[in-house]
Amino acid sequence: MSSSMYIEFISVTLLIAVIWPLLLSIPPLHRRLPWPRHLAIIPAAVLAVIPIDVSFNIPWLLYGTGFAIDGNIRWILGAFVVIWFVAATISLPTKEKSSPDYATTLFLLTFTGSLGVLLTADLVGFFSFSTLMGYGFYGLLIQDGNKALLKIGRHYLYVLIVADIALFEALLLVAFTTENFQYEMVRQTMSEISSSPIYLYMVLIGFVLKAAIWPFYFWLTAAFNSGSRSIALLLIAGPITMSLLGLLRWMPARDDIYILGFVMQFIGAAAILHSVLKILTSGMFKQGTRRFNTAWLVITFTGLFSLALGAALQDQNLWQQFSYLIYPAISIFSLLVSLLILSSFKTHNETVLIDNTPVLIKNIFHRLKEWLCSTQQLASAIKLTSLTLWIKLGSFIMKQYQHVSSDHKIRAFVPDWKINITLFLILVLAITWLAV
Amino acid sequence: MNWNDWIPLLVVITSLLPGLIIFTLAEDNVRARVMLNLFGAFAKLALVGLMLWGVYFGYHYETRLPLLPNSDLVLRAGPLALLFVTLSTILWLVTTVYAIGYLEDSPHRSRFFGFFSLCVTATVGVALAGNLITFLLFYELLTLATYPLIVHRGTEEARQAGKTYLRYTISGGALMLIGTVWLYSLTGTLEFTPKGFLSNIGEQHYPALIGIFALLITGLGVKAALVPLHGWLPLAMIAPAPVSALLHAVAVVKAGAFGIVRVVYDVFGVEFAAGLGVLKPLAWLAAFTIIYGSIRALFQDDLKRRLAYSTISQVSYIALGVAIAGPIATIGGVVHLVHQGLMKITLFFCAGNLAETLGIHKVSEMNGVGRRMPWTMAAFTIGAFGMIGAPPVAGFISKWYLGLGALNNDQSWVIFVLAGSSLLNAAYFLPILHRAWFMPSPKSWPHEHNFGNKETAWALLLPPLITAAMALAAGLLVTMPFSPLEWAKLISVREFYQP
Repeated sequence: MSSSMYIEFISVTLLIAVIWPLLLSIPPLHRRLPWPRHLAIIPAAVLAVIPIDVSFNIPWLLYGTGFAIDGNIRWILGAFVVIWFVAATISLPTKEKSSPDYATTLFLLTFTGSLGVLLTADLVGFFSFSTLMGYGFYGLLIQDGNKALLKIGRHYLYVLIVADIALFEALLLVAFTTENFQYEMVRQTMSEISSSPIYLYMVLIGFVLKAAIWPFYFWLTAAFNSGSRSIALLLIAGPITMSLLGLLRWMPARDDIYILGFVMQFIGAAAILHSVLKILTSGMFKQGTRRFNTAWLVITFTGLFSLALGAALQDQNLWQQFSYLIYPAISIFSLLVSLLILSSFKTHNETVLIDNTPVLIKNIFHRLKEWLCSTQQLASAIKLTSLTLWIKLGSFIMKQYQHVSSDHKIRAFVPDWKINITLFLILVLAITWLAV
Repeated sequence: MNWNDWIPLLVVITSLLPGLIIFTLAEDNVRARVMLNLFGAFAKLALVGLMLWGVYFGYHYETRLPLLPNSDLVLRAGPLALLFVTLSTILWLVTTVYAIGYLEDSPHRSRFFGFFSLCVTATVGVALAGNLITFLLFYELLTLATYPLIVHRGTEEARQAGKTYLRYTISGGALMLIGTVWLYSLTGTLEFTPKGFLSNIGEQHYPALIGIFALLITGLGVKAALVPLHGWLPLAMIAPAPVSALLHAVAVVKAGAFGIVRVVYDVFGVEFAAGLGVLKPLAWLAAFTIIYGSIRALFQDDLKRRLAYSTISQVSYIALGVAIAGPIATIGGVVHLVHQGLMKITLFFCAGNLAETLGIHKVSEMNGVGRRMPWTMAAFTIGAFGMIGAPPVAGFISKWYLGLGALNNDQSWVIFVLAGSSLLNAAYFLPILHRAWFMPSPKSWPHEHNFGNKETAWALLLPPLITAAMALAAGLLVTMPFSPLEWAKLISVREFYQP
């Protein structure tokens, strides 16, 4: 085959790699095929082993979204294919043909979303596929009806919604500046305009939430504690890895944002310190603490990532020297963690350490909300009237929902929205603060 | 007059004539009624397709008939009119198929389908109206044609809802009439004109113009369900599902929202209206309605009621886009006219399917319904995600352009409204999806009808699947020629912001 034929072959495979699992997610189709989850991964596996770089645009989504694959992406794609293949094997659906297999649908939707995030060449595509991945993973997390996972799923959902809103705002700021959404172009453009700090903070909020970077890791530790091996694997290969990738791709190339660089380094250092303390105090090698420690290992890595990115935001030379290491590092990290998951999640009866972080986080948010409500003067001083309105609105919603709803399940569901609304308020606070 | 001049009138007649004949048909003459309905719908679709093609390439279609001294009945097919006409025509066809399945074996079908056709006739007339008097004529016909549909069930509750509807809409119509007469007395013309026809009027008349704007927008705001004029809409959901679909997605609320676009752009002119200072209050009112409607939707256990409050919120996006002013926000507002229609009609069809097949009317009864009716709930899921604004469904595109338009016009506060609305939309739609897909099913459903091994009747299942696919395609294939977004851009360039 000539090189142009190779390129055409890879281009078609690239497109099929995304569309094929999406088609297979339709229940009447995957029910008629053997091993649909494995079949869905095959085109992606082909892409991972053929070392030819291609990119192309197709006229869909806003502004026309393209796909691309290069050496950097292939690093992550290789690990991605392996992990998804293992997850597909260890979470095979039941053989009952009578009931629809929604687990496979959700698995394939999450896979499509994650793969799309990896292969898409611009921000709009990234955002669209990441939404699919997020909601697919939410479904996957809660689909077996486990009560603990239902609760974690809700927390994940709140995080997802707030993160998506933040990223949507960031996208609008990009659209306000340029119509070219390709990663490099956005990195360059957003490094030159005055509104880029707001963009940066939106991106940071969005991906810190999505990648469960400290201090928003509560749903990650809970999912590791309560979820199955396949859930833990998909969490690594899906939301976590793809959100780290998002931070890499969405961050603008500028080195004069000392505050943000400092914030990210602080987050990274705090994450590492907290994780090390947690692992040491839980008994590093004790049977029954492996799940717990694996989760904290992930938090350590995301902390390291944050630390490195913070340093790069303060010194672009550092970034240019070492950025080539990031992709292999993410790839190796995800494979290592997957190995740990496979070895540590062997028995179902292992003791699970209870992590009280969600309660702590809730309390922190609650206190913050109370404090914000009680400091009317401060709010008016820094022109936060709108924020106060939102707080009152949030309280009003809670009250009304608890009064009106006669269904106790809805009632039980609603108080958790406090977290969601509080996160949203923090988002508003951040933007207002920046605007002021 | 040449052949092209008659096409707008023919588009109106293709639903008027079948409607009038259907009134005379016997109740058991199902085949003739179905044939007439479908013939009318397909004929209208063909004519609209022809006009779409023609307008895209610069042809002009206008029917002008004498009506009053110095005021003709004008039907004109510009890009904006065609956007609304195309939406109405396509959704009328789909809703007709749905209504045939939904009302199978129920009484008074000839009356129902007769008024149904009249309702679409009025909507198409509203869309094609070339001046304010023609608009008002069809606007009032719409009120009269929809009332019998709302009270169709004949229950006390339906009659009360109908009375409330009449009270609101006739009062709104009266305000519009006063505004129209006052405007005519000032200007001597009511002809819709790109960039408006008031820019040459003397400054001494500005207070009067503000009053006229208030009257017209209040009159239109009743049908567009702007708060506090929205009271009739949640009550009207007592009507059968096809009527709700028609009210919320095609006819009544859309006629109100479309009227606001017409008044701002083709009567006042957006720049003149902004200069008068009337757009800011409209933007605030729309923003308040968006948030208020969403908050009220949160507390509704009745599914159709929740959707009704959602409509109140979502339709105001159109008014908001117009009030922000500027080409990009206008694109967002105008394209939402189509996008909201596609998504909301899907949701109402699905609600109707749940009611008709399993007797489900409340959100709290929807546990596990996704396993029993997977296709219906798949369509519902697409519609709901579209309403939230998740990509790639059509709602994402509307929110994108509204947000971008707001940034371009230095109205960043709108971003918070959109974000708050998305959050609230998620808060009232995601629990429904959670229940439907992830909660265990009950042992029995409230009133299950037997459709053999099928999920439900084909006539009920196909329409929501088609409209859900269209809502998805409108977001996914947004850059294709003739997509709603591309057409909205054409409107913005040719009608509102032409050089």
